[in-house]
Amino acid sequence: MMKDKRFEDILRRKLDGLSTPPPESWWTDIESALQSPSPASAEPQRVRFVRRPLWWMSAACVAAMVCIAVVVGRQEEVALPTASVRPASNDNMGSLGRHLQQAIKEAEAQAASPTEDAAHPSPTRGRHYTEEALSGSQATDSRRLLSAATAMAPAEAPYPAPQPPTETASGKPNGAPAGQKAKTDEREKEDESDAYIVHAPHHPSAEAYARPPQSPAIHRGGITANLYVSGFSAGHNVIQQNAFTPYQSVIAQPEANFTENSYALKAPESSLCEKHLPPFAVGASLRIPLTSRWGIETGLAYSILASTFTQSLPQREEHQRAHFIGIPLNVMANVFSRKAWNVYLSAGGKWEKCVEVYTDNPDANAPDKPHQWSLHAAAGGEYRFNRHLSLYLEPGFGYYFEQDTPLRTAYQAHPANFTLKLGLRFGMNRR
Amino acid sequence: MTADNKPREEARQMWTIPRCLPTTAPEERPSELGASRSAQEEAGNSMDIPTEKALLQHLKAGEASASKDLYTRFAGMVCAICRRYLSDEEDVKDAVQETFIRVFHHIAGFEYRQEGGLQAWIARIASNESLKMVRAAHLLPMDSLEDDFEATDEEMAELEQLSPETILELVRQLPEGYRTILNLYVFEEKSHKEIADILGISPMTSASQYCRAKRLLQKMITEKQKSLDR
Repeated sequence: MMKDKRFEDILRRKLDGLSTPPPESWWTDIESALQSPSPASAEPQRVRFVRRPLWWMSAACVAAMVCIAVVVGRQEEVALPTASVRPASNDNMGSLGRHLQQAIKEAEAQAASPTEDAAHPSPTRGRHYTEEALSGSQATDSRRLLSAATAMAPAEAPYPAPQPPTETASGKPNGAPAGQKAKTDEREKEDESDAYIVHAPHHPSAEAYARPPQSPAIHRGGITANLYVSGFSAGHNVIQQNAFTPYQSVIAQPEANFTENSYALKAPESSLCEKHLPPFAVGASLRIPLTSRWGIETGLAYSILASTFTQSLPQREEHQRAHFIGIPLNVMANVFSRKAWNVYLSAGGKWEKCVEVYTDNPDANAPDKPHQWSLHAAAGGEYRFNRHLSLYLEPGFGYYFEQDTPLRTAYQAHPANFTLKLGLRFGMNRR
Repeated sequence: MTADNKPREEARQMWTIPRCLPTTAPEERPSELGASRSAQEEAGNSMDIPTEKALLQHLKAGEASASKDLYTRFAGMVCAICRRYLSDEEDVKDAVQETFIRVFHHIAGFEYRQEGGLQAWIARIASNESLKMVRAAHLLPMDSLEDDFEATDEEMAELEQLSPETILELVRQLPEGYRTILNLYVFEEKSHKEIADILGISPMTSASQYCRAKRLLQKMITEKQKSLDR
């Protein structure tokens, strides 16, 4: 049984065509608003959507940064051997002197208790130097120190070890007094043997000299600056709707379907289709270590959300591009670290503010520019090229909270999503 | 067929000028707008094409008086629509202002098809602006269940006796959510599903809120009628 619509018909007929003229002063205000160049009265600009190869540009920038960083890093590594062959100065004597003193003590200890180790020097003993062997004219000091440094260098040093000096030392392995005739043959034998090749795992000093300690990235990294690009798998969201929504622009319908008693427009059947491209974001952040395992990260992020709205009746298509600026805040926890690799966990949130919305629909209402809160969690992997540069990848999940806004973006259409962040990390004071 | 059994097309041709026009005397109208209303009615010209068309031509030509003419012609209608949605007079003023600002900014892109098209376009803008203000005020109904309400013959007779201005005032006294759904259902002739999509509520909520609105409005009409009878 059809519902009685008489109440609605009477109400509609009574108020249909009703005119309540406003005060005259309202026109003055409207006229002033039209004449003033306020943002509210500014005509929305038609935006020509020029396809810019953002992805290609971003990839090119990342590749360029990687190349530059690798080249710079290699130059630093090549410079290290030069520093090691400089004549020992007072400043450089600090660490090297300590190494030599330790070698001397070991030699003395071995000399005090001659064992078979004397005939077959242990690789862990290092060079058997005495004070007399190290004394001498100042001209030969640098060469002797160079020999000691060379002997302490691990066999797998990345750079070729400097050649030992041609002038032989005047000391015997067992602490023979200086001044004796240099035993070249014995010395050459010693040089050829592996007794003086210090294996890095057994010689902490050499290891410290040759390679930084294997410690968690956060701890050894210090404050790091990050540049990244990210996106999430909102995909090509297509949402069908069968009604007009408030944010929709006024659809000019020149052909009105008038009912017999009303000027009110009877909305025809129409469908609305939304398509949201995967949002793209770039950002810069700082990671500040708190402990050897924990750290926090914050910075700035810029996101672009592109959407297309298509209506069937009347057939219209509207393109929208929303720009967001956000501040993320994450807590990082390092879980695994080995050599140049590092794995960590990250969790936190982000606040974003829509700073601009562009649309190519001239009838669109003044766009709403809402805030956007979100939560994120990710597991990251990092590869260190050198002390100052590393590349990281962070797959994770994000959830965008619903905001009371008429602006439709991928955030509202796809609140829960998979995220992927790719970036470069620059260590400011890594050791 | 219409309520009085007249063919729909004939009924459409009966009213020559939209009834929402301000009731100004013909001699007060600018002469460039064409013949007076009464003259057109006497001539039985059902398609008042030159009036809106001429107005649009003057507007697009950038004539200074054209804007005021358009405002004068449609301000009453726009104000009535906004007052149906909004109870606060300041909100009504803002909605009317925003409506005409948008109309003047986009009038250049409006494509004239037939008489009444401009009026319908402006009416739709006014409804959208009013609805936007309602949503901005976050005064939307909550989910609830309510039985359907059917007005009795006596209640409908009371509704018939009241003047349009009185009914408008009663509608404005309804709670915001009720009033919004009433406007969308009765005057915009949206379905409850469409209303639910617009307001972000469920169709069941829309239906129950409309029933509450109708019941409350009918109660207010009855009380008003009693007060008038005293």
